[in-house]
Amino acid sequence: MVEKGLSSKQYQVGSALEAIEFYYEKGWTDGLPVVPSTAERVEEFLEKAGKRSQDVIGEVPERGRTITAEKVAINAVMAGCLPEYMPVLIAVVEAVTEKAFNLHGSAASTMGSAQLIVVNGPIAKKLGINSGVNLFGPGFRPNATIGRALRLILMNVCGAIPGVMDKSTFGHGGKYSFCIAENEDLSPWEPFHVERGFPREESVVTVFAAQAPIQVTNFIGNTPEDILASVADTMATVGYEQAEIVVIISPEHLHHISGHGWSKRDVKRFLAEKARRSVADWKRVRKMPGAIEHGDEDRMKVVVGDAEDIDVLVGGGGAGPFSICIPLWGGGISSRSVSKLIRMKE
Amino acid sequence: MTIGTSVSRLTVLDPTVEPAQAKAAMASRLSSLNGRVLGLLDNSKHNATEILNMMSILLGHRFMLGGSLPFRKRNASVIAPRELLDEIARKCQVALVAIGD
Repeated sequence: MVEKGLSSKQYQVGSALEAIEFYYEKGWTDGLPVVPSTAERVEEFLEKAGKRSQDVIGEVPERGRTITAEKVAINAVMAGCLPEYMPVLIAVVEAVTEKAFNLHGSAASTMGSAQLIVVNGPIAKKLGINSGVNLFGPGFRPNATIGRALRLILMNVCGAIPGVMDKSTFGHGGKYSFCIAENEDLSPWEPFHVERGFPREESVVTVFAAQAPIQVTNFIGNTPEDILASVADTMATVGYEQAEIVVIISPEHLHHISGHGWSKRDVKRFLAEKARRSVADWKRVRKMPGAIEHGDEDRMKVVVGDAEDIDVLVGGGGAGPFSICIPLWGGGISSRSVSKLIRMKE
Repeated sequence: MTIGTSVSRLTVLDPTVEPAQAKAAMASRLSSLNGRVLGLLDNSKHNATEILNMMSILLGHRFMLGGSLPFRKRNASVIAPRELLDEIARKCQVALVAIGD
């Protein structure tokens, strides 16, 4: 029976196991088994989102693709989401289809970015989106499935098929799922979405076209300068003149940094100043073209020109002297991060 | 329903979307480049300019070009702005586009 308003083609399959194999045969998975997307389940997801099946959530004009609420819901079911995740996923799709995000370019590129989803606000705790231990790892349904749903949408709706319109040389694990919450409870600083201009009590997603996280290991430092020196050193392996970069401070490092009275602004300013290399060094490692010339050893090029372009978040497990640097695709120049309000069904 | 033991049939929905077909036709092919102005659209990738210039020289060996004009889009990952494409179409009769990585 065709449920009301659904327009997607239907396929009769056998058991759930046979359905799982059917999806593999059609090439509709990310390599992992998916949940069969029945009309009844899809309707449940649409109802939770307060959307009609043909509501347009986003478009990728370069690819001639329109993403309807129905297709979001179908792929969300397949990913293993719960219906209550839909408002988050809707906001995510709205965000990645903003022109500034450049989904077409970032999803096709050999540089191989994935879409990092950061959730802020009350919904993170309500849905149980992990902001702590094993932040980028497995074990948390909303993290695993919201990020996965977006990837399935990219593949099935936007044509980002590996080797076809996804030409990533390597890609990275975030292409399975790359969704986290910021640890707002632990952080003494303004949450990321508040920095972006949203009220604290609102829930917001921010999406980044992100490369793989780089872990910064620092067992020795217990002052802000000593800890952040290693973060700056890691940033200096990325490249110069980045338009945006993400840094995630772990609880253990945060304890020392904020314990010495440093604000988020202090952190950003320190990193902006210290994350640099000489022109000679950039040329030496072929991150900058041209031969080394007289004076290049003394000329410096910073990683990020404006401290405000360093996005500082708090997250990760309570133990472990590590933090994270996440470079963005194309230096954050060709794709800008986008924040969107998560609208709950009224 | 227990996975693997049920005999009921599921009906599942297609998660994919076909791209909207663009309404575009191929431009008429020129029989010769003699007297034609050649547009060279650089996509901002390294060596794009060098490759295009070399192609222009090689084509110049084979044809009496009416000239060549360089153009550049600022970002390799974003499609060329309509205004830029219109300018190329106004000023040139044929164009080479660098689309390599």
